[in-house]
Amino acid sequence: MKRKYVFCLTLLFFIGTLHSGFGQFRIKGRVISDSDLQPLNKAVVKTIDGKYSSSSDSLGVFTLSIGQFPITLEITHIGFEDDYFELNSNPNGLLEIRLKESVRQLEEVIVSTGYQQIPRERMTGSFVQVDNQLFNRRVSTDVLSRLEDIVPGLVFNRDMRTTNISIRGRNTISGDGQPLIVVDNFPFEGDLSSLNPNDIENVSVLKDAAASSIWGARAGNGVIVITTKKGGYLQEPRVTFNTNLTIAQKPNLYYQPTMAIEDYIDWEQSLFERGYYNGFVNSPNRVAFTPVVELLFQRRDGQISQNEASNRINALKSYDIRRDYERFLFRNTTNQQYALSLNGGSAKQGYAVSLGYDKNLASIVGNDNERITINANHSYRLVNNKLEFSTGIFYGSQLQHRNFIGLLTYTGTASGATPIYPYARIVDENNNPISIEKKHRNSFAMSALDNGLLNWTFNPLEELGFSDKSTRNEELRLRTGLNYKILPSLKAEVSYIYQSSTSNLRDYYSLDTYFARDIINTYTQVDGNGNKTLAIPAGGILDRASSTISGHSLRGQLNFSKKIGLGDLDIIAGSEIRGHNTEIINNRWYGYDDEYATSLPVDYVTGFKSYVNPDASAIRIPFNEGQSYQIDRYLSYYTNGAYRLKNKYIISGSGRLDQSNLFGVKANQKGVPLWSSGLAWIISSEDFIKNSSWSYLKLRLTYGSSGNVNKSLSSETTAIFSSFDNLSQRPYATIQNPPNPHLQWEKVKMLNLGLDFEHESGRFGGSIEYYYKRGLNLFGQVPYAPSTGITTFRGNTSSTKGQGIDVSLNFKVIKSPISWSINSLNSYVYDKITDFKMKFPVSTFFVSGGGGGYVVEGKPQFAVFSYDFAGLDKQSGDPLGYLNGEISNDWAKIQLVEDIESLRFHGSSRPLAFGSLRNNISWRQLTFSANISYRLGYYFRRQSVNYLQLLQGVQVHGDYENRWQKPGDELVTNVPSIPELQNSNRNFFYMNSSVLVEKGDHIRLQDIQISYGIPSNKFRGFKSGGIDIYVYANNLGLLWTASKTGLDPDSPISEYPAQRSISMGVKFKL
Amino acid sequence: MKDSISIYRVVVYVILLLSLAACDKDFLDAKPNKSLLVPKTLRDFQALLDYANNGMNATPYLCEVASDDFIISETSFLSYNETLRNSYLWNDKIYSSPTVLDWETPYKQIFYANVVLDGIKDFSLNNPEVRNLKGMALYYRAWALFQLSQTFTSPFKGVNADKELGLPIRTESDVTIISPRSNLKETYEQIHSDILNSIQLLEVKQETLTRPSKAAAYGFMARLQLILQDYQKAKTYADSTLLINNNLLDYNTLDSAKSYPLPTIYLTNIENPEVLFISVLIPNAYFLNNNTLVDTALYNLYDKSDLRKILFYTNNKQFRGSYMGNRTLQFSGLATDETYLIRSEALVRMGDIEGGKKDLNTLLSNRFKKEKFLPIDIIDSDELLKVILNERRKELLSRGIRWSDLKRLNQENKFEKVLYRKVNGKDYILEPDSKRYAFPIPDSEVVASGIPQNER
Repeated sequence: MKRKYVFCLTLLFFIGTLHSGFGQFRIKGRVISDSDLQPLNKAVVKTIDGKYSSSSDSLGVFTLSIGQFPITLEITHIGFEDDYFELNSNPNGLLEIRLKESVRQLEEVIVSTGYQQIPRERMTGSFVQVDNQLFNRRVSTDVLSRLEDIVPGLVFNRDMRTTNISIRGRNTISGDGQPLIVVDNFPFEGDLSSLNPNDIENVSVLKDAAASSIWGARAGNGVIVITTKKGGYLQEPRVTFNTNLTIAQKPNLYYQPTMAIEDYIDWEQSLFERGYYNGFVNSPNRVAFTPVVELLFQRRDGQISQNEASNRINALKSYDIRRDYERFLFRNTTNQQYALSLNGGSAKQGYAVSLGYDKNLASIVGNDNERITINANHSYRLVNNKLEFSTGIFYGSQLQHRNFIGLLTYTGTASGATPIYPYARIVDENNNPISIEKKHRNSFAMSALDNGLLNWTFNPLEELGFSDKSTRNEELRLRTGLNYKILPSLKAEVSYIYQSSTSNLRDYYSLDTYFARDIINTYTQVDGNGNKTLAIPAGGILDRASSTISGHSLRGQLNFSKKIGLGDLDIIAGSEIRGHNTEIINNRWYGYDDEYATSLPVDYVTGFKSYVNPDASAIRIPFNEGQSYQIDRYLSYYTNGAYRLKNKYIISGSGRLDQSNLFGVKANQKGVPLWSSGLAWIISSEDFIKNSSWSYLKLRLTYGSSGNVNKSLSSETTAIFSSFDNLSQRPYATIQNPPNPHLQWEKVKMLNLGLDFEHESGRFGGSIEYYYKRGLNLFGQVPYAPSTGITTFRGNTSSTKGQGIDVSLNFKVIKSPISWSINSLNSYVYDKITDFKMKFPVSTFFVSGGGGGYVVEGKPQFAVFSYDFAGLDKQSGDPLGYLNGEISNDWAKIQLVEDIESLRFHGSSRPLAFGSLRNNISWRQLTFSANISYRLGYYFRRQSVNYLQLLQGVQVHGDYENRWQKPGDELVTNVPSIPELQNSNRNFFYMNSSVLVEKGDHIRLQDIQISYGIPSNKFRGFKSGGIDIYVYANNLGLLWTASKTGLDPDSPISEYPAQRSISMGVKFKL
Repeated sequence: MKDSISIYRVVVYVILLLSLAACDKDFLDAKPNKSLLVPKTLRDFQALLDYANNGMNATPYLCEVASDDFIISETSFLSYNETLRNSYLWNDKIYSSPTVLDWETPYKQIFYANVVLDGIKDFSLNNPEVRNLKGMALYYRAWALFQLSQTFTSPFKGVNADKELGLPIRTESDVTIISPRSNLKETYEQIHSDILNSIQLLEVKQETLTRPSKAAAYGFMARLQLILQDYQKAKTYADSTLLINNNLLDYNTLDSAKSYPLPTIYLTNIENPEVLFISVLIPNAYFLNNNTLVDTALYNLYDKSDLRKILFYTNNKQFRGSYMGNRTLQFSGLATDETYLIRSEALVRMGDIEGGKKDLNTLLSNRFKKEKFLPIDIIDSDELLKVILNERRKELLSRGIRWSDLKRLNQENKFEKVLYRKVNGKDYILEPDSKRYAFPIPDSEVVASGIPQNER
C-alpha cells in the first residue's frame, strides 16, 4: 500500500516537470577552455534576456532553443571569465566558444556544510569537496567506497574483518567511531546501501572542529555531507542514461596457506593411534568424525581390512574441497547498474528526477541483491522569487537473498564448529550431490533414520534450493523546505524531513533444509515403549524480523548576510528538533507450510528431552519472539558566523548546544555546549605580494570542539528486564550498567592550520594542513577487578592526543595537446592514549586483538604488541621467550607479566601514513587515469599453526610444513614443534610472539579508468548530448609490500582478499 | 518606517523559529529503550534476585573437579579442556582463560545483593515484603562469600584464622571501591553475621525454591557451623531446619529404569520434598563428559541393598543422582538429607551416640530397600563417625561439599586423606595439608585490584 502511494507521488512529480518551454530555433555549440582546449562541463549558456538557457555536458556541448535572431548569448562557467557571443542568424554547424580561465579558480567552489552553502574562499575550516566527476570515477553500487583515495585524511580501515571509515583517525574508543553521514542537510538514519551513487551531485567532507562543530555532539569523528542532484532554474531538460556491468574474479580460496591435505590425513591417523578419538565415541552430543577417522574405527573394529582402509584413505588424499567450492559454491561477482535521470528547469521551477536499478550477484552462490531507487527533487520560486519552496522524495527498495552455503563447517571433536575437513567432497564422481559430515556422527544419523526420524545428513548442494532467506529494505525520505527572503540581507528557512527505513527479514526453512530437520529431530520425544512424538511439528520454519526506524526532523534557521563596514557579515542561527523511533519485532513459526501460509502451535514452556542427548537437562523449544523499542531524541540550538574584511581577513565562529534523551541523567547533564572559532588570511590579496608568482595564497587557523554521544551508558544503575528465568521460572532482571555518577559526554578538540596555494602558471596548486587534536573523557571499556561484581568497566576512561598532516597537491604537467595532470594526496596521522590509569593483565590486550577497546597509555589506540621471540628450543622445538630478561619457556609466567613495557611494541595496526597518486592523461576525447595508493607505518599479526586446534584434529595453517621436527631445525624455522598435550600458554605465546608480526607497508595499483567521449555531432540526425564509454578496473594488485609473506596487508586474516574486478559502462546524454 | 516594519517582521520570524524547539519538556525525558529500567520498585529488586540461572543460584565447580569423588578414565583425559585438566591434577596454574566464573559469578551475586540492599534502604522494614527481600539479599551475599571461601581460601582452623588470608568483603554496590583481602576470620564473621541477619527476616516459605527461605538459612548456618567445628551450634541450627522441614524422599518409590530416577525439579513442577534451596554448579564440561565416572572406591562403599547404588549411577558409573533430576545441572543447594547428616555427626561428636545413630538410620531407612534395611548399630563413637562421614560422601556427591569436607577432615589425623591420581603413567598427589587446597585467585583480579595471590 505504502509503495503504491510512493509510486503515485513520484509519478506526479514526473508529470509536473513536463511544462518547461522550448523555442523554435536550435543552436548547437561547444564550450572549451581557451588554454588547453578541453571541453567544459556545465557551462551555462543563456540569452541575456534570461528567457532561454542551457548548459554544456561533459564534452562541452550544449544545445539551446531560442525564439528569434539576433540574439546575445551569455556563457558562464565556474573558474572562467564570463563571455558574450552575438548571433545574427542561425549558425551552420557547431559554434565554438572559448572561455578564458579566471585568475582565481579556487574561489568559486561552493561547499555545503549541511546548514549552508559557502564559497570555499570564505571558509576558515578544513573541508574537502568531491565533485561529481571525481565521485563518478569509480564504478560501484554504494556511495561511500567512492570516497576512497580521493579525500586526504579519510581512510578505509581494514585491520578488523569489517571495513570502516575514519577521518583523521578515530576519536573515540568504544563509542561510535564512524563519521556522521548527512544527506541533503539532515543526518542519515537509514541504510546507507540504499543510496544510489548516480543520484549524488557532490560530497563534502568536514574534517576539523570548525567545520564539523556545526554538527555538534555527533560530529566528533568528522562529517560527510552528501548532496543529491537538484534541478537548476533556467536549464534545458537533460536526460542521462548510465549503465555498467562489473565482473569480479572468483575469490582466491588458496590465499591463506593451509596444511597439506596429505599431512592432515597423516595427522588424523597419528591422533587416532594416540587414542584421541576414543573419548568422543560416547560423546553426549554425538559429534561427527571425519571420513578418515571413521575408516580407522572400522579398521580397528575389523569391519574392513587393513588394505581396504589404506586404499580408501589414500583415495581421500586426492580430494580438495576448494575445487568443489570453486565449481559449485563460488562464482564471479556480476554487478549490473542502470540509472536514468532527467533534470532541468524553467525560470520558476527546477526539477531532477531519477530512476535507478542495480542487480548484483555475489561471489558466494545463493546471495544476490537487487535495488530500485527513485529520486525526485523539485524547487519552485514564488512571490517575485522571494520564496523558494522545495520538495524531495526518495524511495529505495532493496531485495537481498542470503541462501548461501559458502565455506562449510562441521562440529567434530574440537569445541564448536570448525572449517570442514579439507578432503570433503560435495559431489561424487558422477557429479551427483553427496552428503558431508555436519553435526552428528553418521552412524547416529542412520540409526535415527531407522527409528523413523527425519534424514539427518547434510547435503550442501541440495541444500542450496531448500531455503528462501531474504531481506527487503525500504527507504523513504520526504523532504520539504521553505526559504523566504525577508530582506535582501535576511533569509528565513524552515526545512523538514521524514525518514523511514524498514527492513523485513523473511527466512523460510522448508522441511527439506538441514536446519529444520535438525531441530525437529532433536526435539523428537521417545517414550519408554519407543513411541515417538514430535515436539516441533514436521514442517517448515519461518523466521521473520522487521525493524523500522522512522522519524521526523524539523529545522528553522535565519541567514543574515550584509556588507558591514569594509567587510561582509554572514550569520546563521537556528534550532533543530529531531526524533526517531526504532522498533524491532522478531517472530518464528513452526510447522509452517509456505503454500497455505499456515503454522502450528508448539509448547514453549515444557522442557523436552533432546533426542541427541537424552541425559542432558530438559531443553525448551527456541522461542524467537521478541520486540524492542528505542527512542532517540535530540534538541539543538546553533549559530555560525563569519566576517570577511576587504576579502582578505576572515574571522569565523560557531556554537551549538545539543541535548538528548540520555537515560538516567539529570536534565542539566543532557546537553553539551560545543563551539569553534577560526581565522583566515588571503595573503595573495595583499598588495605587497601582488608580484609574487603565487596567484592564490590563503592561510587558515581554527580551533574548536565537537562531541560524541553514547546512549548505552547511564549514570544510574540500569537493568534490563527479561521474561523468564529457566531456574527461578520468574521474570528477571540483569544489570546493564553499574552506577556511574561521573559520566560525561565525549569531547574532541581540534586545532587546524592550513595553507592553500595556487601557482600563477596554473600548473601547480594544493593545500597543506596540520592539525592537533585531543579527545577528552572518551568512553572506554576496561577489564575491571571482578570482585566488584563487574568484569569490565565502561565509562570515561581515557583521553587521546594526536596530530597529523594532510597534503594535497595538483600538478598540470602538460596542458596541450595531450593533457597530463597528477593529483597526489598524502596524509599522516598519529595518536596516542593519555590519562589511562587502569591496570589489567597484559594478556587481555592480546585476547582483544589490540584495538578492541583495551588501550595502553602512551601508545596508539590500535597498538600491536608481541612477546619477544627467542627462537626454538634445540631439544624440544618449544618456542622460547623472555622472562625478566632471561630466555624462558615458562609461558604461563610470561603471560602473567604485568608490565606492558616488557612486551615488544611494534606500532599501530592502522597506517600512520597513507595516500594516493593519481595520473590523469587525456587526449581529445580519450581520458585515462590510474590510481596508485599507499599505506605505510603499520603492522599486522599474521596467522600460523594453532596447536590447540591441531591437537583437536583441525586442519591448521600451512606453516605446519615448516614446523620444528628434529634438532637442527631451529636454525631454519621459527615454527614450534607439535606439543605433546594441548598447552594454551605455549600456543598463546607463539601466536602472539614477535615472529608473527609483519610490517603492513605497501603500495598498490588500486584502479585504472579509461573513458572515451563521443561528441554529439558524430550522430547526424540524432540529437544526442554525447556518449561516454568507460572501462574501470579495480583491486589491480600490490606493487610492493614490506612483508614477504605474500599476504595482502589489507586482508591478513580473511579467507581471501578483495577480488579484481573490471567494469564497462556507457553513459548516454540527450 | 519601512525599516521598523522589517524589524518587526524579523522579530516575528525569530520567535517563530526558536519556538520550534521550545516544545514540551517531556520531549527529552523519553526512555531511550523500553526494556531499560533503573531498579526502584520492590518488584524490580525481586527481579534482580530472581536472575537465578547462571546468576544468583550458581556455585563454583572446580572444587568438585579437584575432589576425590570422581575420576576421569585415563584414555579420555585429552577430551577435557585445559582448566579441567589442571584442576584435576592440582596443577600450579589452573586457568587457561582470563575469565574464571568460579570467582566472577559469586562476586556478581554479591554485587546484585548489594544493589538490592542499597536500593531498599529507604523502604520501611515494617513491610513484610521489604523484610523478606532484605533477608534474601543478605542470604545471597553470605552464600556467595561462603562458596568463594571454600574454593579460594585455606581451611578454617579456628586458631590463627585472623592470620590467614581471607577474601575481599563487599558490602556496598559502588564499583569504584576496590576491596582488599580481609583475613579468614573476618571473612567467616561476615558470612556468619549475614546469615544470622537473614534468619530474622526471611519468610518461612517462598514462592519458589530458588528464593532462600528461613529453613534454607537455618540449613546454611548448620553447614557453616560444621565447618567452624562448633557442633553444638551445628546441631541447634539443624534442629531449627528440620522443625520446618523434616521430609525425606523414600527412594523405594523411585523408578530406576528411568534415565533420571530422581524427581526433575527443573522446568517441571515435580517436587523433591528434601530440597530446601535450589542452587546448581556453574555449567561446566566436567559433568557433561561421559568419561567422568564415580571413584571406584566410593562406588564400592555402597551396600548391595543400598538403592543409591542403582539410582545414582548409570551402568558405566556415570553419576545421575543430581537433585535437579538431570545431568547438565548438578544440584549444589541445600536439602534435608544433608541436615540429617550434619546433626548426626554433630551429635556423635558431642557424645550423643544414640541421637546420632537415630538421625543416620532415619536417613538410611529411606535409602535402602525396605525389606533389606538393617539399622546401624555401632557403639564406638569413632567407628560411627567414620560411617557417618562415609555416608556424607555417598549421599552428598557433586554438590560442591566434598572439597569443604576434605579441608575440614584433613585437620584430624584419623580422618585425613592423601589424594592420588595417575595420568599417562605419571602419579600426582595432594597432601592433606597442601596449600593447593586454596585455588589461585584469577590473574584478572590480582592485577586489577592488586590483592595478594594465594601461595600454591
